[in-house]
Amino acid sequence: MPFESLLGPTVTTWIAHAVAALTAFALLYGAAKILWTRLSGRPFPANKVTRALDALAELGTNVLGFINKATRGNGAPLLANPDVQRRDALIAEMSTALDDLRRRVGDAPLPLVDAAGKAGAVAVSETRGFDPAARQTIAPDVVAAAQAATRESERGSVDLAGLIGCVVIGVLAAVIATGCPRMPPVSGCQPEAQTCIADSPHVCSASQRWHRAGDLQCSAVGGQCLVAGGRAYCAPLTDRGAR
Amino acid sequence: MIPMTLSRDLVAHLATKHGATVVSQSDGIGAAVRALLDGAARVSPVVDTLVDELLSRAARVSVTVPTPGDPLIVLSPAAVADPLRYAMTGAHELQHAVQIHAGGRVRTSIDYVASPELRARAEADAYAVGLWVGYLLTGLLPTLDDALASIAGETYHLDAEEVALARGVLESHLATMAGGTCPPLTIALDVLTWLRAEHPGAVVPTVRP
Repeated sequence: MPFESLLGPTVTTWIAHAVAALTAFALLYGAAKILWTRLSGRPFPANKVTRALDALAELGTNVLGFINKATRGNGAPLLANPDVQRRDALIAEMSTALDDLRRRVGDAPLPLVDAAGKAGAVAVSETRGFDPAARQTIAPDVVAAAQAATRESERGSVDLAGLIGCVVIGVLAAVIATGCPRMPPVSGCQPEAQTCIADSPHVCSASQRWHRAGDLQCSAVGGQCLVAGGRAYCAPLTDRGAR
Repeated sequence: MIPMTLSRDLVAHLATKHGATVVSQSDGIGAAVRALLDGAARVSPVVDTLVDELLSRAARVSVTVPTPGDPLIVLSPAAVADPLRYAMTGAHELQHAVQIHAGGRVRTSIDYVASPELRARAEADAYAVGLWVGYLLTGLLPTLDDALASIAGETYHLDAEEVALARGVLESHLATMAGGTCPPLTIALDVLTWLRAEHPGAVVPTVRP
């Protein structure tokens, strides 16, 4: 077990539990979002809490996604996502071309201005230039609603306090849901030593915990716990060895 | 040589008393589990490799599986081929069933999977039960070597430190047996009680209680 050898059993166990709990949370959260959308017919709400939950859902299985979700609001490019970077480059290129076009049409009348006798072209003719807002063919409130319904609207920085709160809640839920191994307390005993505790033989582990040998007391099998030659065992009641 | 009927009756009695279901891999449930694994093996080469390893071990490894109902004990073909091994392995697995009932299905599973120390201790107790059954039915005082070789093998994924803990627990139980006393284990005591009641002649050594 290389991970356990490298990190130790306790750390390995905690990591395994954390990843399992976060993965389970991601699945449940995704199911909840789908259910919400299906039942309500509306997009899942996008606010600080849901953004924090989105980020948390990425943490167990997609650390880069978690970083993207948690930090995208500062304008930094997404990590390891060539498609989005290419898209950003295309947008920059198109913006440059648009600025160039704006400069050109600002110097001369648009060819369609004079010919336009239709309603709706008036605003364009009056600007005598290129005004994207005036040429908008989709109502702004519709655009806003559409943006709210896309994942794009979910890309923003999350509230740090909300994120930390979600992590704490997630860890607590994981501990409650999965529990931890019920290890005996560390007693500081000498590894491999044996002793009698409450009429039962006990053996000391490498982590210096007393582990009980058996699940009954010696009296249940007609014996008595004794230590002889460093060995704890259930001796017959007539066997009065050294204790 | 003890008759197979004795072994089957013993294991059936223990399973009834402690609420466990015992099947062999050739039984319906065992075959269903095997078919499920065979099907899973076709999903991908990685799964195929894992399942191959699992199935190759399944020929000689018996398991106790916690279920929402009674624990399910699936005995390997090797375990059911010989009456003595049947009794020893059945008792071993039933000690695990006792552990599951005592600690709860989920918590016992977490303990076993997540903690090599607790796994080592649980297996040492269960192996001691198997050794005790063999001792009762043959009169040959067991040694540490065979059980320790199994515990230290690849099946349980234990490091040297956990194997040392298992050795300590086994040494304690063997010292108890050597003194003529039943080890302090639920199934060990139940086996002795049942054999004395049903087949008193089958108990070879003189032991207490």
